[in-house]
Amino acid sequence: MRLTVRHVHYFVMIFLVLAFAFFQSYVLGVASWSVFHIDFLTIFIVYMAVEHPLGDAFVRSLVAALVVTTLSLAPSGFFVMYYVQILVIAAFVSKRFVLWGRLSQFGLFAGLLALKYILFAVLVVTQGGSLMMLKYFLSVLPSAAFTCFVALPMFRIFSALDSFFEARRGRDETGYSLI
Amino acid sequence: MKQYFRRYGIWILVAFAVLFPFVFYSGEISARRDLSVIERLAFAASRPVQFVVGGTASGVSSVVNRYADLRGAKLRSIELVDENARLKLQLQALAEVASENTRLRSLLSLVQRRDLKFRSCEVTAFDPSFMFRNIRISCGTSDGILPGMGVVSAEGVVGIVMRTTSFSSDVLLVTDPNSNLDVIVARNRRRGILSGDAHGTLMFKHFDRGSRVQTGDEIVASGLTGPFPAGLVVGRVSEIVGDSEAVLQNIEVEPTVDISRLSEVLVLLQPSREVDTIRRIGGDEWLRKVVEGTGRAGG
Repeated sequence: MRLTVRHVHYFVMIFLVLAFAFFQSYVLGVASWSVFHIDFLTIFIVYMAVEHPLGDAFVRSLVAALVVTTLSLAPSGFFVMYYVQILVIAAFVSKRFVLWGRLSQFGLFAGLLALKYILFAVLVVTQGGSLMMLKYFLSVLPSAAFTCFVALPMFRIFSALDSFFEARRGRDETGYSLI
Repeated sequence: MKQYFRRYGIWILVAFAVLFPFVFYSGEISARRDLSVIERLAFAASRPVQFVVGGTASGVSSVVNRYADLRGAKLRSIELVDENARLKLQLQALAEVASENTRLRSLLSLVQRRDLKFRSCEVTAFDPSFMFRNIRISCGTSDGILPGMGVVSAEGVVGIVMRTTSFSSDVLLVTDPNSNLDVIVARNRRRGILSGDAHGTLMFKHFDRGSRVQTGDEIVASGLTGPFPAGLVVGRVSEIVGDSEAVLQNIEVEPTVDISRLSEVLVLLQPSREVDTIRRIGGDEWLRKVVEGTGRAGG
């Protein structure tokens, strides 16, 4: 089977999912300052939901959820549900409405990220845990704010990466092979 | 009907995707800690990437730490020599007290306390979602680590081993909302349960009726249940909401261990009495089921 740019692109995206999961766990998670707790995986999944075919994005989200589950003691299925949830919402909103403005893109991403914290709060409260809303909000604020802050520049980086592969693919289909 | 679905299908799908997780998590959920077959496959398949990212992170952090350690090393060594001399004197005094304690316990026919055996492990990773509170340590079943063992650091209690592989283990931290620990107030020996909460602190609850707790009280492991020996420090009472006569009190406890700065921990190798008994009677498989079942109840 001939290895095309399309295949390479697909595997690079899978690799990025894995790399982000381990980077968050082994590098960012170790940082004592919560500002560094940037959720690159959520940024990447939202980007894929908006820019990639839903089937491909779904497979990569599933891979992300499985890898994060192996690194976390979260209840089984938590991340599968969260990633599928943001995937469906992001894909739906981006296909229904044209989000040209940076503020609207920022708003969409902030809303999807907030779902993670809401879902966690629901889980804690329903399992009989204690949760003080204001304290919880203040404890997650630095991490959430910084994740939102870097989301738009990260979208541009992912978009540049996709453009690179698209350009190579154009050459590939006209007779040039990457490998 | 077909037309209805064609028209509103997408809306139904979106509503389902948004609401289903909330409905699912509002019920009783499985506290399964072991990985499923698919998760194990994902774990095995992602090992090379984990090896590269983990190896690079550990290499870079060791270089940075070495540089950080060298800065002010001279001053620190002088401080440590002083501290060492002071601790040696304290140790001599404590050795005398310990032998006296052993003698008195044998006179009173009390059970002799066992020496603590532990294994030092490196903290390699944290929870990647930054919400659940667990760490991964560099020791696994090949080092004699088993689920249910206690994990401590020089400052106090850290958590409990929940999941093991050959070369790594996942530890549920005391600050995780799923963690519950049997503790006593050091000042008046009142018993209660210490649970993790959603914001990285601990909540002291279910304490004995009529107990008086004050801000600054030291909370220690009871040693009656769970893998921790009695007297091991867990935290200090930092805030009490509601006066001592109130029916409901929110007692917040600050853990003595700064979880965000953990780099090395000690795993207590002798399991607790209950864990020992369960393993002896029911075997490892039964113990695994009990640990999974009490996952929600923590220790």
